[in-house]
Amino acid sequence: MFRLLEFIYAIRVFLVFVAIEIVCIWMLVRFNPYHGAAYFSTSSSIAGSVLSIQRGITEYFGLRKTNLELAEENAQLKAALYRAQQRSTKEIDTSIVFIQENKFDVKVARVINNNTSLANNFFTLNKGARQGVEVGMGVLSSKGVAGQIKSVTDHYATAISILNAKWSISAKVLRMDADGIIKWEDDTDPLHVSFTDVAKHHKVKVGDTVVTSGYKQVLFPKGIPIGIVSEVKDEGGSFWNIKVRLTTDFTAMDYVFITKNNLKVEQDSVEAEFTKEKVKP
Amino acid sequence: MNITDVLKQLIHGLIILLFQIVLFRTSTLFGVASCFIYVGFLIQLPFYISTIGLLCITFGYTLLIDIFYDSPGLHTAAAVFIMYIRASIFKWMTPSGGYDNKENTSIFTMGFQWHLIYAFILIFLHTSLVFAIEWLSIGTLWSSLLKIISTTLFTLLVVMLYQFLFLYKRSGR
Repeated sequence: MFRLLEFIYAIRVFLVFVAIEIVCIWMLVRFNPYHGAAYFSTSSSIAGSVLSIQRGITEYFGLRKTNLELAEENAQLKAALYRAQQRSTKEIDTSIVFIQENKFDVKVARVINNNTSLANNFFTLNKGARQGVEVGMGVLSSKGVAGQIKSVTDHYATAISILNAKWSISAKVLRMDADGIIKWEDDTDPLHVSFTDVAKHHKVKVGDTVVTSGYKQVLFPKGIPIGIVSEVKDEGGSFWNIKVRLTTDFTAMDYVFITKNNLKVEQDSVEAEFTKEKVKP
Repeated sequence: MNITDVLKQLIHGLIILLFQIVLFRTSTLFGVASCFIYVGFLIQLPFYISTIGLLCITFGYTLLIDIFYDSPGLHTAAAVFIMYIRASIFKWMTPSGGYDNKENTSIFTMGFQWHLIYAFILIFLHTSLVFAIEWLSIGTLWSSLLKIISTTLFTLLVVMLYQFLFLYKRSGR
């Protein structure tokens, strides 16, 4: 003990020096807005670039699969394009078609960090505010819904994944328009989610497709696939207990699409009056 | 160490502080070279103050300057660092006669060449640190390097001049 005190006494000058420097750095971060911002943005951009490098190394191992996915997606897009061309020649006289077509903007981004093992999972994208990404936009994978943008820095964005116990999305069964809410409840299983609030009188079967409903929240276009019903259980009460197998494989996400609803502000403002009235006693 | 010495240093410090915050705070030479004249006051502080005492004086004094510069911690961090390594530099630069009969480090007690090298090392470290910390948040590497070099030279020039003007009488006794 005495030796320890002796040692501390021997390096007292150094300790005083370190203490004063710590106070200085604390003041720098605390009181200088731009140093504080620099400290935090540097740390997050360093983290971001490390993740980018890591992604750059590991992407070669998945090139084959990526190629396959891209080809598949190309085919789908072409099909959709032909369908749209046919439709627009048929329904040229209805103005609604044009609104629907201009409603959503789509940007492509890459997933550079992804997690499926926690209870609240997030993933990081390589596009940020500079590329026009904003908080609140929806994220789709090539196979279905992926999540929603939660925070944005200059070059990176973080998104809440469906595999996050704190996030949910309104959905419906494609075959019969039975709607409910998709939630992730079993946090050990990154392949399945729960589909709750579906009333018993809808005859939901295993194998039905679950898609986005397009209302309640205006993040995604209507009819984007979420998953396939894999289990329907009756556990009493007036709602089914349904499990849905996700179409997006969250353990192997690579390219994703960020959707921006161009008419969201307009839709919010027209709905705002009614929501306000509801709140008033 | 007697009371007149302390008073002298106090007044000295106040005058330099005024110079720094009134004259040099707002003016830069060619837009890049600032002058941190207060470093000149710090590096001439007498030998007999212990290092802990030096660090405390430096902390208080530079914090005052930082408050006027509106950058709490920036100059203080750099100045405390150079005052901490000042002892090592003394050891490294010991002149042939040692420091026995010297009280402070002006050009008159230590010689022009010795003081030039000594002041250059400390001023260079100080400005490098200040602009390196600034560079972390704004600015580019090249503009920071330019600022470091020009500010070091300008400050060195002013500090040497001020040694001639202020400390002449005291060491000539």
